[in-house]
Amino acid sequence: MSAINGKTDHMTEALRGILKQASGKGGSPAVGYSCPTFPIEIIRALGLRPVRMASGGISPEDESRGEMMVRSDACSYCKGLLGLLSRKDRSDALIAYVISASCDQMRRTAERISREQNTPVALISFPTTRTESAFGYFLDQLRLATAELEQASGRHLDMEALRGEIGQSRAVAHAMTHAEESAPERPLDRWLLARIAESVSAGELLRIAGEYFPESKGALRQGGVLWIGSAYFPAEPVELEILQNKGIPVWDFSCSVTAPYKIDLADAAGADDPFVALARAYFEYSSCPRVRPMEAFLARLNVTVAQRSPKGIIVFSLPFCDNWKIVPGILREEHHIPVLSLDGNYSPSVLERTRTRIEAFLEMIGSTR
Amino acid sequence: MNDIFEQSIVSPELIGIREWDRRFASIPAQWLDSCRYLRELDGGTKYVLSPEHYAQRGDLLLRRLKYDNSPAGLRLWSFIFSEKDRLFKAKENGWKIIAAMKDLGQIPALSYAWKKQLTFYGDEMWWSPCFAEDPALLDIAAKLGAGDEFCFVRAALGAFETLTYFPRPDLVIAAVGACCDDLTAVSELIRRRGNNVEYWELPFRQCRNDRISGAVFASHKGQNDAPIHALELVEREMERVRGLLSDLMGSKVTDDDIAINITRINRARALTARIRQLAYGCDPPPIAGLEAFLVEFLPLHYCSDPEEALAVLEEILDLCQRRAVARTGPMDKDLLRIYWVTPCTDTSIVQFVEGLGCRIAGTEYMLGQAFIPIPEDMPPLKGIAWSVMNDAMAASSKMRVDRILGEAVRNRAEGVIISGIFGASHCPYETSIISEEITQRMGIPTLSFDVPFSAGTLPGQITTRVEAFVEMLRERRRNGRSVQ
Repeated sequence: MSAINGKTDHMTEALRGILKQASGKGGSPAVGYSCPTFPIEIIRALGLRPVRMASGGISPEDESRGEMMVRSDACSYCKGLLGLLSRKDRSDALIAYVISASCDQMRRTAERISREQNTPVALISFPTTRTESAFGYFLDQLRLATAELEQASGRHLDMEALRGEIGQSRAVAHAMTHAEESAPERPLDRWLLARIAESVSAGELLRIAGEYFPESKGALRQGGVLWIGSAYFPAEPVELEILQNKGIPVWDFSCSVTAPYKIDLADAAGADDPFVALARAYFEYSSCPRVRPMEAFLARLNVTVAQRSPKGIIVFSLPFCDNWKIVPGILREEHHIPVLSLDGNYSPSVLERTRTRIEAFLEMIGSTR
Repeated sequence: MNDIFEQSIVSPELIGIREWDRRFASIPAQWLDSCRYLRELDGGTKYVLSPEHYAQRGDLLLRRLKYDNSPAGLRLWSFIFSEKDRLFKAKENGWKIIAAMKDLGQIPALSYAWKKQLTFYGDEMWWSPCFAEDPALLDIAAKLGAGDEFCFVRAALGAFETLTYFPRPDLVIAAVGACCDDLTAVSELIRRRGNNVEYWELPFRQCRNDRISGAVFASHKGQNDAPIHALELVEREMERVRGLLSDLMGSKVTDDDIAINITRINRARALTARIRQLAYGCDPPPIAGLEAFLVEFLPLHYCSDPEEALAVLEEILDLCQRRAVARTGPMDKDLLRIYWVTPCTDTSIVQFVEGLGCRIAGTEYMLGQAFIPIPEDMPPLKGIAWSVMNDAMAASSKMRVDRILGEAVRNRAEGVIISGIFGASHCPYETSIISEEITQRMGIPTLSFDVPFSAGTLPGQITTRVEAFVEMLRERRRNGRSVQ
């Protein structure tokens, strides 16, 4: 159970159980990846198992341990990641890391990881701009990282296998979309499903999604709040639990929840060169506010706002996450929707403050039940 | 030779602002008249003035500093602090104004191939609140979305809003990618305030021996080895920037025009490199740490006047050489040798350290790329790409560490001060790596601290720590544990 003591129902408990079982599963050699800007289909097509590095949950102790390697004014996620990887009781044997430098701090975290760990690190400098020139650079880096993985695993990337994995990813995306459509008021459960998705096959995920997110005819398709923000991997996000307990629709556009599953892979599946098409799909999908100019990110966000008409937007940001810190002000200029700028970290000490702020915000926008 | 020139060689000293006021009258009018900026406009404008003149315009910290007693040193200070006059004058005369953001010497290598434009270092505003002893720019930035979790570069956002430090630029060219998150965020806020911002992608640059893998490297004489795919990206990006500049200026430049500009830039780089060698390597140092600090910033963007910047550098080099031959300088011999990492936002701290019996014996202000010549034996945009690859901000920390160790060992540094910037995305990560590497590989002590905004006074926490650090270095020297 989380620290909230809320009204979590049996479905949430069941999903927690599934996650616990699934995350311990071994099998093929694993590759740690940091960010959904790297196409995990490549890892899978090599017969390797992608493991999102923070997916097991960052604890306050991890953040403190990370702070011994970097200074306190580093981003909590990066500190937590460093602390998590230096846990003495880590059991996941990874043959390589693929780290996307989605921001400067993440790049420097990769460097620190390479100093601390004996495992090879392939760094992808995910471009900030969206020009053809930047795409060429991204593609070059994907090829280099793939070669690195091939070397680390002794396997060769097969294009048909890649095509197959793209199909699997589309099935996973379908399951996640289904969950959001059928249960918008259960953001915590979707967060759990996203974690489960990182550990089970597409077929298994579809089965779980069908069972635990049954089509609800009464589901609200609009209103509620939109949840966006920094990459955030606590053992369980109490913020989402608070929202779930309120029973209002919560639409998310976060790389920690369902945003990674909204990448459109339809073209990639049938492309002559699935590698290039896959790179293109990832490159053009922008769930990160670091993209410059920011319009590509805002346009995608605006689609969700237009579709769902949320009554408010909650922007969650970790300390020193500069690219998310500027988002609330920009959204206030762009939309006539109330915006809550919610700061957080992995410390339980901010829980009550967070609860009060969320509740006050929901009251203000008239979204309490 | 006039007395004041000769005196500055024979009896160099550091003097306060009031003393410069008193001595200013003894500077020959003919020499003052020869120092002019923007000579293309009405024969240029005289700018060498007493520091008090610039303090009265708002940079109050100048009143707390001490200055080299040479006219060359005064010219350097005046040139730096008169930059905004140049920018406004150029704008009034119809020239284009270009701000280069997160650009430490690269875009000017291209843009100054065009006439009738000035390119300035748009984010240099990071030092302005400290010089002005006024948080106004930071306060404005906070209101616009960049609060105190951002480093001092947020002052640029305030400056783009007030337009008191520069006129509205016709074009802002900002590097993003492998650069600090603070500037990436601040640049976008600047763009959203109606400024014409264009971005270019600065790629991450691995080092050959990084344990971060995956790159194929190219080599070129005099340059750091660089990943081929990153070099190719920068060359493409520079071609794109060239197009943007052509559109803005309404004219095109040839490769030959750019090559001529690169030759001029390399002259500034060579002068700066030589001045650094003398300033940090000679004993006694021919100039003090702050004058050397200002010199290091000149080759980034020529302080908005390439021709005059070269004249300023040449005169400083001449001063250093003459003092080196005469074995004189404004400070004593055999002082404790401090290596300084990351530029200090509050420059008075450098003088505080010197006042404790130390001298600066090398620096890594993340400007090292601007002292390495741009290759001239290849197409100019490719040459600029090589130069970009020398940027420590875009590289792994290894490049900085190697640069620091190389110079610190050469100049026999006895201690290293790392002055950080709170909230800067690179400082939390690099500080520990640099500190660890110096301790392991050189065995000398390091001191790291963040420099807060502290108007009108030195922060007590820093002065106490620095005093203890210097005392420890002195003790090590007494015990024969310093690098000799």
